[in-house]
Amino acid sequence: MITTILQYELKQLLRKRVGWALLLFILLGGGYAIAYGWLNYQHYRTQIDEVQQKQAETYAELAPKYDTLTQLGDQAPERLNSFGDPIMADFRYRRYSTWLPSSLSALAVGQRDQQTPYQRIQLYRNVNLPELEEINNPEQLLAGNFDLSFVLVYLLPLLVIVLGFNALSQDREEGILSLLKVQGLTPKQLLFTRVGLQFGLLWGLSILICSIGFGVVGADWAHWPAWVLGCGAWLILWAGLVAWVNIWGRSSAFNATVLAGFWIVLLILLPALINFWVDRTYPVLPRSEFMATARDISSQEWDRPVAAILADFQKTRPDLYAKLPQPIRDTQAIKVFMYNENSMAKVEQLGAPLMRTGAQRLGLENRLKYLNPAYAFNAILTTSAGTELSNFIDWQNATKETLKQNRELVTQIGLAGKTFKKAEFERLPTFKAPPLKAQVGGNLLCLGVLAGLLWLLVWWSAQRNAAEV
Amino acid sequence: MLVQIIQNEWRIAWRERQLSVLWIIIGGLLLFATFSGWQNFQRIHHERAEAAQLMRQKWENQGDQNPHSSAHYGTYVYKPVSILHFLDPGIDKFAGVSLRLEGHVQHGLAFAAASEQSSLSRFGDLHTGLILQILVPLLLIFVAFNSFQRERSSGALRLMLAQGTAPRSLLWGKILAVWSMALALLLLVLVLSGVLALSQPQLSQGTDVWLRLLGLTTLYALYYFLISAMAVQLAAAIRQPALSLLSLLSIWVLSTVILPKVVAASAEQQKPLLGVMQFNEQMHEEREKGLNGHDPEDARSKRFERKILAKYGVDDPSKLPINYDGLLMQEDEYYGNAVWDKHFGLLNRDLRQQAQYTAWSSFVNPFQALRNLSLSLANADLYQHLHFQKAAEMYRRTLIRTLNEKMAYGGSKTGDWDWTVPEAWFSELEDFNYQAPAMAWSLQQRTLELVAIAAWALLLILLLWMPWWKAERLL
Repeated sequence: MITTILQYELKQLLRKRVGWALLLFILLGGGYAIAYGWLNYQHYRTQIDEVQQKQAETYAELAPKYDTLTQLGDQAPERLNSFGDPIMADFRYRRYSTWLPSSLSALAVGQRDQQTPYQRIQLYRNVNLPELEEINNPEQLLAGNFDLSFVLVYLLPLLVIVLGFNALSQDREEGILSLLKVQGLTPKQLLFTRVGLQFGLLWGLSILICSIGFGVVGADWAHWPAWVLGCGAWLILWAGLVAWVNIWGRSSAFNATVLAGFWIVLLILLPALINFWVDRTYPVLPRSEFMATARDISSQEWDRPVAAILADFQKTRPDLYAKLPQPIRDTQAIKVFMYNENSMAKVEQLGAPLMRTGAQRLGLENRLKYLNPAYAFNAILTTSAGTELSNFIDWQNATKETLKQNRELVTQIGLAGKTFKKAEFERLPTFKAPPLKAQVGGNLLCLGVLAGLLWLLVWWSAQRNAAEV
Repeated sequence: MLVQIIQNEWRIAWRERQLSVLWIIIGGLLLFATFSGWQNFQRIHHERAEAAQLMRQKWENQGDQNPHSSAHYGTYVYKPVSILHFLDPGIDKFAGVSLRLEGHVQHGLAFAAASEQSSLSRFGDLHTGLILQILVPLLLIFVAFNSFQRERSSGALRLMLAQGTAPRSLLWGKILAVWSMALALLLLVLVLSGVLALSQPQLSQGTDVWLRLLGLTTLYALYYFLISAMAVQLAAAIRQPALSLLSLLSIWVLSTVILPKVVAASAEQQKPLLGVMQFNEQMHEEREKGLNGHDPEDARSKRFERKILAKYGVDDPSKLPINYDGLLMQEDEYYGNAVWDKHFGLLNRDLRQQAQYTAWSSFVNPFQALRNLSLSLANADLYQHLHFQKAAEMYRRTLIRTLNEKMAYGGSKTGDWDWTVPEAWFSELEDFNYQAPAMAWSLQQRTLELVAIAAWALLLILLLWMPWWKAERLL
């Protein structure tokens, strides 16, 4: 019987103009989203490539000079003297830490468009005070991106609703349901088969679109199962809602109203309310005080007597202090390094709450995801594409680490009164991207649990309303 | 007759449990969002006011200082938040809020709050604007989609038409009834906003705030009329309520969710913006071609030096009665300003073109007109952002010129970098006092959207006068 229903329903779907219109709509939407994401990613990638090229160019330009400095030693031409100065060596070798989400970010832009994806690796840099801020049109940011993740998160449920809102009610309204009952078919069987078929078709369609997207942008296929399973879980959840509403035994118009309400609640209201909650619990800290204090720390620190700077340095960096050649002769010459270390330590201490707030916000959002399945599904897509705030924080932490290594090296050489030769130049750290942390498991589990609970409710309601259904 | 139809529609809407529950939920949400928006506005307003005050204090307490060192020390200014932020925060969290002002460089606004939020923030914030723009129209759709079906199935429609009710009157009655329901919610927001604004008289001084509030109310009222007219006409034209609802919901999703993103994406592709690195490199390259205030040996500096020496009739800067370094620094600024004007001018042109692109889409999608005009009336749009940026840059130029002129004509001699002016002199320099543009200016930037929304209203009214609205069509 079920095979007959499936065959019949499939034929009906293929005959319906609305079905074809929807297919066209989703294919066009998906195609546009993939093309938009790809162009957007190319634009972004070009900028990163330029930065990386700049780094390679300065390396190519400087390396021969350090070869000469090493080979000729004291006999090196005078014009190369400044290249030996640790601060100048650090300054001249333009190195960048770049946030380079994978090509999959073409399909899930996430927060990539909000962030400046590069930061100079240099002695005086602080991760909380980026030298540059990306140029954006804030009205475009407000409108958001039309990428594939938008199609999957927002539009896919609409298709489930449009196909399924009258899964049972239409037959009842047309008087066919009672005829079917006579033929030994239970409405429950009919409903579940229809919803199952619609789910299968839409999942197949989403798998097709994801696969095209992955193929077009050249994404890492290792993330494909996460996307496909995510789409499946998301669709099961919506199919559950459709089935549940149909079980109530009300009119098609009523079902459509309620399902539209669910769409609003799950995709607009709940995320907005949770965002409100997170904002109130951990508001984004204003940077004004941080910026002003950071600026003043530098100038105040510089104005202090060298002896005071030295004493502080001994306290804050005993490891580096121990490496100072004793007895310390020319404190003026090493003042800049000690001053820098002292002020950086203070600025980092000031900036710690800024870094912490991001992590706290993410923690709360993660805990609330069971109330917010749209966010859980979106997080599967964005974290696997490396475009979520959590990925950005990982990048920031890796940048911070590179900045620290850089400072340690330049400071150690500077404090020892040495100059830069080829070996030191080669040791200047360059940025290494942290491994991608895709948060798939927890979010899939969340969607799975919610979908499971909902289907239990559907089953229970179907049993309870057996007569009605 | 019209009044009776309206009363009847209200009665039916009130009797329908789902609708009245929805009304209460949306009304409650509006109250909640307006109150919490107000609290949020106050927090942001205080934060920025305090930050501005802190910066001014630091400026005034910088000690005796060489004016050019002071130009390098610089200051920060903060974009003040509009009082109507609580109704529509607009681009506030996506746009930078602080701007560093210093000699030799024009910076862009930095530290947008959204850059520190996860993609949850992209789902949208709960604010009054969101509810008024997204949820209230949806509610109107739910009210209107079967407004004819009820009377069709009960036979009341046939009776009414037989009793001489003109089909057009019936349509107008239903439209006005649905519209008046939206107006009731709008009135609630207007009264509450007025009370909240009055509670902060120092922020709501002048007529502009009230004009803007009135403008916002009129705008939303006009938009709700569009929705009501469209929904009722579609409900009259489509006999099956489910199909009528689906059609209306499709239009709603298309206009509020899909089209704004598609248009924004297309605008971005039409006029892609330069990356910040490329933008800065281009400015840097052009800047390098000019004179360098800190390098008196470059060719342009030498030429300028000859001009000044000739003017004063001496052969060496040390013989000048003024400090040549101050003049050179200012000349450097003039050159830099021309470079910034060119590049920031090009950037702003591109941004404006993107905004124009989206503005044109208002003729296809009235929601776009509503959103853009709402941002504009709340003083939270791109144009106001650029207005602030320009005002801050003008202040920077005046400030740096004053400092350079003090250096040049204040009594010091060329090369005397240790010369300082007393701290009190810095306190006398005028603070940055940003005057947000008036409503007329804001609306001038949004002429296309104004024309579009008016055209939509006209079109829907014209449709109502079309000869096809006959009794047979409604039955």
